[in-house]
Amino acid sequence: MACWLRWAGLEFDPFEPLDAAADPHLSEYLVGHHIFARAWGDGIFWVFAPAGGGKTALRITIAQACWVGQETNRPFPLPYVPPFLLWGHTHPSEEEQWLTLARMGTQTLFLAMAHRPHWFLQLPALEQQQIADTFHWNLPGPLPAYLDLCRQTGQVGLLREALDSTLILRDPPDAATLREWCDALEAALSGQPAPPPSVRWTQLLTVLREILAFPAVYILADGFDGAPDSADNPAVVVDCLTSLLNRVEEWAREKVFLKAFLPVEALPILSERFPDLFTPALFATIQWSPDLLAEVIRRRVYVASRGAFGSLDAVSSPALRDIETILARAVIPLPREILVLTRRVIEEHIQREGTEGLLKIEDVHAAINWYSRENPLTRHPF
Amino acid sequence: MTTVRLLSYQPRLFVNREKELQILEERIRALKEGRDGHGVFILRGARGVGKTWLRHHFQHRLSQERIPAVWLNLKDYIGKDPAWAVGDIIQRVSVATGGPAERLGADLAEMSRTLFRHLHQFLQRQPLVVIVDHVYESDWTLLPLLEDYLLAPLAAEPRVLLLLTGRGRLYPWKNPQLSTLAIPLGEPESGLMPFDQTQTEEQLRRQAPHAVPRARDIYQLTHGNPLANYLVATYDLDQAVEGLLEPVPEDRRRIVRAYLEALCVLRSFDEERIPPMLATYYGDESYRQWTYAQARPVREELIRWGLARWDATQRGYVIDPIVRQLVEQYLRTQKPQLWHKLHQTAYQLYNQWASAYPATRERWQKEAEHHWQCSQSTA
Repeated sequence: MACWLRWAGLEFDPFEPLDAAADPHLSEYLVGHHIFARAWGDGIFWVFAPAGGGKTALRITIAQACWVGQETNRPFPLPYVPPFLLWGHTHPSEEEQWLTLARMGTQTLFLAMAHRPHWFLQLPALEQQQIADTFHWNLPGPLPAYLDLCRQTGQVGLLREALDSTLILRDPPDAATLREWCDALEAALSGQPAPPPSVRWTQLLTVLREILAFPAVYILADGFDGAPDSADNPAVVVDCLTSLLNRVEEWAREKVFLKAFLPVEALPILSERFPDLFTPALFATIQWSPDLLAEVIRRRVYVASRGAFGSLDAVSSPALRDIETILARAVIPLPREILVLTRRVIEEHIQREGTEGLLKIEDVHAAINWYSRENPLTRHPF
Repeated sequence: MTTVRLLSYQPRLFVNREKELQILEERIRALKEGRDGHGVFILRGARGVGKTWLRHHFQHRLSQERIPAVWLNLKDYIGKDPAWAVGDIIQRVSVATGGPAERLGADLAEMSRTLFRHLHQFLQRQPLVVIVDHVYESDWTLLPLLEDYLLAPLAAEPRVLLLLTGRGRLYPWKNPQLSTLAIPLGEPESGLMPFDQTQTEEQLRRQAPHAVPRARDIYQLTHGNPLANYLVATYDLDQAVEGLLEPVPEDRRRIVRAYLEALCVLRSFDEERIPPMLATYYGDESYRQWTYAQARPVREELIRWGLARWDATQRGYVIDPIVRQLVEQYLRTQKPQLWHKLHQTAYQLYNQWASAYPATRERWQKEAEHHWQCSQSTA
């Protein structure tokens, strides 16, 4: 595969990483820009899509857009994936939501600060203590254990693996600065016991908004359809969200904005129960038409060819044109499906002709035949 | 043969572009009054459409209003080490805004942090305009570093207007403020548009008054491309084409012009279509045996100089419209036999494809008909 991609002028495999969180080029691939443009910015927003429809990709793109530069002058992205559903708890209380938010926000802040120790080192002692206590109360494990991970290697790699491997920030500090941060953080701990969840959440917001001066906090809520109970039951998603929804307008006044990425099946129930929150101006639905799906491939080809060409037509025989639309019409309308099929076209080509040569119509037919066998309900375009 | 000299910008020679200037100036007003609003603008368009003059004119207005502006020309960094280049650019922004002149840090991250600490103080006193020229022609190894350490943090500053100019392939910025949320000047897809006939006349009145009586003919040939208007008004067609190829280094200009002449009759091209066209152009059948790998450098070179790009509608590469128009007109009038032969070759190729490839027959038939009609017409 790599040989053919190289022959075709693609600098990396743009069809391989099917897990949005693991894809370093995700933000460059963005299609459906209008939804991003609406979801971005200071405001509550809801994005609805079917499972596998690009919710996580959009959520990560927004988070990445927040992590620009090296200072705290962009919104702080707080990833929120409700853990309750995994253990069958579908009606979390406010206290439970606060605790989860405090934990997830702290985890992200801790990891980000390990990359940017200067945020901490330039603060006065009292503010350093508030931050150290926040970490101590809310991290999933003991703070010294995480600091030891940094000290042992002088790098943030192990910490990322332990806390969130998808959070990738440029320019981690050198070993000496990282160790200096670890020492300063440990020294700043007051050893106070953890207060109730509501205080922990409020203190995290104080740290983010007042001490570190992030202009806003974006709570990026996702993963509501990932648990067995919620996958086929939108009412469960709504129940899980309800205690959060009661607070979102109050938070928005404090520049804390909930942006939730939800299964499309939940929209009718939410609109009925929270008509003021789910107005058309505040939500968008990702709908994958064949045109947009074709654009997924074209965009990836464009990025991987460094802008030289924007379609596989450029490496297809004259017998084949608009290859992306042909593929888009043959698949279940989800991005991952067209990626799978596109990859298969190339594999078929390599099997037939080796690692060079233009894609042929026979490659496309063979790939679609394979896909149809794997997914009997899809429509065969030929 | 007279050397072609492009006209340098002078405020009194500038015409049109009120709409684009109005958009930029409205944003400047907002910055001065401390109003928020998105401040990243994209100025792109075909060769000669007037990006450089509009940029000059905008800078002229800024200097009249005493608004600090930094102009960064990425053309200066072609072939340089990307990390060194970005370091140099950061340093230049610092100096231009009255910041430290000595090295700002041990690495790009530290340099960027130092610069932005200085800029935060600078921006409390006044807004800042940063113009980055030749962005889209730049190397894709330089742009990610420039994005991370300068452009994206600048885009996040509420008192900065960032203007990105260039032509060719749009770079897929990671930061949406530089892409999705940036405001395009001109048309969203094609960028700055050529002049209409009245604007062309006005341009000639100011820049080449002797050619005003020929304004209509010039417009018909150039479709209002301002650079082409001036070149056609001032030089013969051969020289006008040379003027359009000014961005190509002199040692490559001759071969690039040959490629353009060979391909200019085609509405779109790719590596499959390059060999027969070169065979006809050079009168050497051995080109027909060229492999895809041999044809690729031709396509890559035209893209490198911004003279061709992938076109989603044509589903092939297209030559920059004004370059194609003038080169083909040159062939039609100066080398009519060659021009006919090239159309005939294209006709034969597409006819053959239409017969061989039933799934795409209609597309190739249409192309064959176009070339048949052209080859039947007279110069």
